Parts: sequence; C-alpha cells; structure tokens
Amino acid sequence: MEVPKAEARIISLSPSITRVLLHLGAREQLVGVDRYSQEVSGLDDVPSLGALFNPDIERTIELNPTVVVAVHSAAQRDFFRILRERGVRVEEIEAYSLDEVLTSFETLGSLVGHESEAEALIESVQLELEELAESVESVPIVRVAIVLEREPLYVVGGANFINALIEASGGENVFADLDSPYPQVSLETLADRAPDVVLDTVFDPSSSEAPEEQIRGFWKRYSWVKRVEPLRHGAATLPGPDLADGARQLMEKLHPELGQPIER
Amino acid sequence: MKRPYLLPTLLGLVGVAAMVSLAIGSAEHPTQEIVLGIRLPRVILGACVGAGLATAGALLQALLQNPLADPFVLGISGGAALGGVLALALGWTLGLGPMSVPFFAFAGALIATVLLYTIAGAGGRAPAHSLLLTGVVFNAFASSVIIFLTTAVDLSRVAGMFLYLIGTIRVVDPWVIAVVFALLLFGLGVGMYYAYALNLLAQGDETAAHLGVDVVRVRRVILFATALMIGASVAVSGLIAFVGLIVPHVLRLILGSDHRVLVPSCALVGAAFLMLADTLARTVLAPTEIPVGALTALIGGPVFLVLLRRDLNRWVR
Amino acid sequence: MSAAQLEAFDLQHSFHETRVVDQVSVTLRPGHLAVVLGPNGSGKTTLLRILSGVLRPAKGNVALAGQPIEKLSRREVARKLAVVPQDTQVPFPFLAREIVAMGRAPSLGPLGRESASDERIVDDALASLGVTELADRSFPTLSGGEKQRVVLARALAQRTDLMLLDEPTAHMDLGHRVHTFEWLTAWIAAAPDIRAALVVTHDLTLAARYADEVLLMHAGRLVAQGSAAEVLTRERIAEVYRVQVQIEHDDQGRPYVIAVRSEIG
Repeated sequence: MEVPKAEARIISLSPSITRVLLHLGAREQLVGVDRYSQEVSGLDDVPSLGALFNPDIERTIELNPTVVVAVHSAAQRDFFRILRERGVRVEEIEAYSLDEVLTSFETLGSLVGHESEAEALIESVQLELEELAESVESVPIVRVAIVLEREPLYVVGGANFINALIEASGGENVFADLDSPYPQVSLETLADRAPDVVLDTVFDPSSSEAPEEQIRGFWKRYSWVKRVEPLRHGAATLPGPDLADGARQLMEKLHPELGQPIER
Repeated sequence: MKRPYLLPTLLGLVGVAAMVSLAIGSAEHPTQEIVLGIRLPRVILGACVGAGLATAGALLQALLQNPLADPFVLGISGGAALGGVLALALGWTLGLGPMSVPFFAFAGALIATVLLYTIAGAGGRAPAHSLLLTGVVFNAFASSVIIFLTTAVDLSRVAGMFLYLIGTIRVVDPWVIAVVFALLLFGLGVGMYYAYALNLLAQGDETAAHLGVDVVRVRRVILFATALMIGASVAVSGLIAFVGLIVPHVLRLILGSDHRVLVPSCALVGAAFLMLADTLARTVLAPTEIPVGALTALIGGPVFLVLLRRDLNRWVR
Repeated sequence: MSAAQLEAFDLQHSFHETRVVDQVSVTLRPGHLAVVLGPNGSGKTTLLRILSGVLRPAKGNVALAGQPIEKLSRREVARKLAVVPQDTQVPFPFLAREIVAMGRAPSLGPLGRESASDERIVDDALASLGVTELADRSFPTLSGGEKQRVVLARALAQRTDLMLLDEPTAHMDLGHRVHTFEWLTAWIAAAPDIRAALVVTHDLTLAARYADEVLLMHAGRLVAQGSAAEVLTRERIAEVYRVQVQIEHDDQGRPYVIAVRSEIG
C-alpha cells in the first residue's frame, strides 16, 4: 500500500541528509534521526536512534517509519534488510560527484513529496556555482589540495563534489586526475604535485588553540608547502543544501586577495 | 655464519636497505626536499619501529619460552593501541603535550604485558595455546573498548581513532623520532645486557633459577623494556603485525638461539626488514600507499599459521 | 663425619588442600648417594623443589652449607648445588654444547663471557658423560636419553659439591642407566669429603645397588630411611606400591626387587 507522501514518516540516518530534508521543508515528517543529525541540526525534540554505525533497530521499528534514508553502507545491510522485510522503504543514498549529490536532492524531494522545493534547490545551487565561476574567470587559477585525513593522507579526488566546488571557485584540484572521491595518497605525491595552497580539515574546532595554530604544527616542517589554511568541515565538505556557500568559502581561501565574496 | 663477519654483514644490510628506501618513492620528480624532508624521517622511524618490534618479539619469546610469541598476536600491541586511542578519544594529556598519546600507548603495552604474564605465564612455561588465547581475548577486549569509544565521542574524532589503528609509519616531529630512538636504544641495551640471562630463561623459569638467575627481577626488567619498545613503536606506527615473529624466527634458523647474537641481530634485521617493507608499501600502488601493517600481515599470517601448526602438533602428539 | 651439606627439617607443603610433603626431614651427608623412592604422587619432586630452594615450604626450613637457603641469592645457591630436573624441554634450537656451557653461568659475569678454563670445563663435562659427539647437535632434536645426559653434563659443568637429580635416567636404556649411576658414584668418590647427591628414581634395583641411603616416601611422608636392605622389604613394598614382589640378594647382600603380581591377595 502506498502511503501518501505528505504523511510519510521519515527517519534520516545521516546529518547531511537531515539537513537537505529540513531545507526541503520536511521537518514535520521527520520522526527519528541519528545522534549527530540531532546535534548538527538542533533537533532536540526528534528522537535519536544512536550513532551512525549502529542505529537502534528496536527503536527504529517502534517509531513506525514509512521511509528510512541513510548513506549506502555494506555494513548495515542486515539492518536495512530487516526494515525492508517489515515493509519499510529504505533509501540508500550513494552520492559523491556534484551530479550525484544534486540527483540525491531530487530523490529526497520525491520521498517526502517536496519535488518542487528540490528542483528549486538544485537550480539555485547550479546557478550560484555558475555565477561564482564567472566572477573568478579573470583571476589566475590556484592549485589546491584538500586534506581530509592526515595520517594516512586522504585528499579530495576527481570523483568528489568538492572537486566541482573547487573548480567553481577559481581553483584546480591537484588530485583531480584521481578517479575516486577520497583517494589515499602518499605525502611525497602531495609534495610532488606542489599545490599553491593546502586546505587542511584536520583540527579540533572546539580546542582553545586556533585552527591555524593546530595545523601549523604539522605542516611547518615542510618547506615545499607554500601556503596552508584550515578548512572547517561544513558547507564546503559535506553534501548539504548549502553547497554554494561551500564554494564561496573555498573561494575566500583560494583567493584571499579578492576579499569577501558578495552573498547573494 | 662466522661471527666476525656477522656484524659487518648486518650493518651492510641495514645500509643497503636505507639507501634503497631513500632512492625509491612515489614522487615522479623527487627533489632534495622530498628525499630529506619526507623520506628520510620515515626511513629512520621505520628502522626504529622494525628494530623495536623484532627485538621485543625475541625478548618475549625467550621470556615466555615460546617461539610463537609476537607483540601483536599476544595483544600487547593491542593494549598499546587501546591506550593511545583512549588518550585520543578522551583527550587525556597529563600535561605531556604531543607525548601524551605515546605515553598512554606505553602504559597500555605495560598493562597488557603484565596481564599476559600473570594470566598465561603463571608458574613457568605456558603452553602456546593458553598464551595465544590470552592474546586473542585481550585483542577482542581492546577492539570492543575502541568500538564502544567511537559511539561515545564526537563524530569528528571517530575517523582519527580508527586511523590510529592502521599500521603505517606516521609523520612526527624530529624530536619524537629522537625519543623513539632513545627508548629503542634503552630497550635494546637492556636486551643485550640480559641476553645471557635470556638464554637461561629460555630453559624454563626453574632451570634458570637453578643456574643462578634471579628470575623475578630479570623478568620484571625485560617486561618493562619490552613494553617500552612496543609502546614506542605502536605510538608512531599503529598496529604492525608479525615483525616480532618473523624476524627472530628466521634469524634463529640461521644464527642459532644464543641471544647474545640474536638480540642485536634482530634489531638490525628488523630495521632493514621494515624499511624495505615500508618502501614497498609506499610505492607498489603509488600514488596510493598500502599500510605497511597490512603488508607485514600478508607475509606474517601464513608464516604464523605454519609455525602454529608445527607447535600444535607437538602438544597434540 | 663432616658436617651435613644440605639439611632440611620438618618440611611441610600443600597444593590445593592436599598435603604433598608432610613432616619430612632430610640430611644429605658428604660422600653419600641418597636415593628417594616412592610411587607416583608421593611428593618426591615437590621435596626436591623445596630442597633446591625454588619452592618455599609452608613449614620447615632448608639449610645449605649451614645457611638458610632462602637467605642465599640464587647465584650463591647455584654455585653450591646443581639440579637436574625431571624433564627438559627447550623450545629453541640451542646446541647441546650451549646447554652444557650454561652450567658455567653461576660463575660468569652478567654477559656470560666464557674464559678458556670455562671452555675446558665444558669439554670435560661433555666427555665425562660421553656426549662429546652430540655437542654440535641441536638440543630439541636429541632423544630423551641423550637430552638427559646433556643435562647431567650441564650439572657437572656447574662444579658444585652437591647435586639433586629428579629421575635422571627415566628415558635411558639399561646400559646408560647403569653408567649414569656408576658415573654419579665415581663423581662422589672423587671427593667424598665434600660431594654428595640425592637422586629421585623409580628404579628400585639400581637404587638398592648404588645408594648409600634409601628414603622411601608415601603420601608425602617419609615412611622409611636407611640402607637398601633395611628399607626395601616385601611387606613395605607391598604396602607402599600395592604390588607383590620377590626380593633376592646379590653376593654382597644388596637386595634386588622382582615384581610378581599387581594384586595383593
């Protein structure tokens, strides 16, 4: 039996998915989220199902969802199977490139019956990225590497939506040729590719020490690092509704000489 | 091999391994900065870790009178990893700054070593299976605690905790390399000073006592030195399995069992072995690196099973 | 008679509530070969461990050359007393010669550097036990009897006045058993004023033939002590070993024991 979409009872098990759903106006349909979604989006009144890796199955069934949305994960196959056996629709989102992320907005929109909102979101993201790209057309391109983990070294690769954000903000990802969203590379390869700037996401934002200080400790020993900047996890690194803000943040980091970009 | 040629041969081996490791890498245009700034520290640290693990393995084997003893298999590396991860996850520092994680790694290694000795080694020689079971249980316990911790801490710390467990030579400050090197030298010094006592201990605790060894005291010192070397190694390289098993085993086949020869040889060959293994790990899938721990496990796993089968035959017979 | 070298008084020890050594007093006199007999589980090995100082008895005390053994360092004990354990398993491929050379350990520095005279002592010990040709063999590959002879050579290389031996001939063939007891007798006879040995064995006949003194243990107690002829009687053996025996005597009046039936009628 098809449940009318407006009455869908939806559970989201990923902070980014939750943010997209909220943006699409599906707040009322959310009946449960993972613990991090609760923290990130301040959903204190929505029941938490625990950490990402081991959602509480009893609690999930008890909330009687019609749809569960989560990031695709082989480790949670059985969890998803149990839900499907009970007639719950399980949607596994697997989106790495910008196209895939935008398509996932569409999927989420149709799950909750907010197709037009999804369409508007996609259009606005595309438009803003285009505008941003135009605004930096005349600026020399900055070659960049974005570090997601330092040890071992994980960077943003060509198959990652962040790669598209870099391109839109007047940069060139030195690892764009690696056909993987999060390739692991050796430190020497990074040195070899000699980026103009390294954007490092590995620091503790809650620490009393400034992010700049935290990352400097690691990179100061390498004279080949021309410039290094901290990059806070958020719009620029998570596939949420604010991708364009992320691209603007990147532009700020890549082209500090341009000053603050104009918010639309 | 004749003893006078042994030391020059092994030193030569270490030298060649170091040269090869410095010469090969994933960079297409290795500049001086890359070779001296990235490869050299890593090669030095790899040598320290390899020497530490191989020496610790040899000491543990003599102490437990069991050639299957390995820091990883026995759960001592697991204990060290648990200590390090606890410090990472809960932000324990004791005001030690960047040395806090290594310090807790050492504490974890020491606790695991003492537990192992108390439970499995009580009253002299423990059969292989009771040692191995203790190691398995301790490893399972350590990983359970680590998994529990991942659910209890902030999401931004989870990835770092898991990555800490991966066996790979980390990037550390030169002075951390110096500390690791000093700890290794200390452990090696203890091992060499007590090498003859280890020969006697390898005969069993009671026989060692009959031959004049103060078993309790020597055991304590050796356990401490072993935990120190393992803790230092794990702190800068995560879990690298089986180096402590393979290197002493192969060297015993070639050089015999006299620890006065074996212990320093293990240090040198362990250093060369891990330098080369790490070079392979850095280059074989370049620009991606394989964790060197995965590589040693790939070689060490089958070797361990062959040895275990031989040992079990002895007990089952 | 010179002073006792090893003396134990009123020893008592239990494992898990079972008294394995009970009210045992032993005196090992210079020039004597003492043999401890008794069925399995009668406490012989425990007694030996207490006498060698590696096991502290719950009650009683052991004196080595007039001093309480627990007051001496292991090194001091090892210079006076050599121990041949029941079973020697070495999981590492040490050479037989290396095993024998470990007998020098109590006299060496911490690094175990051997002098030329130590080497000579090791050579002599190997030759004395007839294992010179095994010297370069890996110890774990030797047969049970060969291992025992190598370990005896190690005890000899210790150059002590006293030896405690726990079933040193258990894995040996008849010829080597007789040789070993003759070797031990000769070793004591070479310095009867200072040397003595205590042997645990199950071989009643060899014990009767070579022992200066026989100690018979049963359920942790010393039930008889004296010459072989005094201790080894039909009635006592029937009581302790639960077996019918016939006892014959050789031309020097020493008994030898022949088992007849396992059931007591």
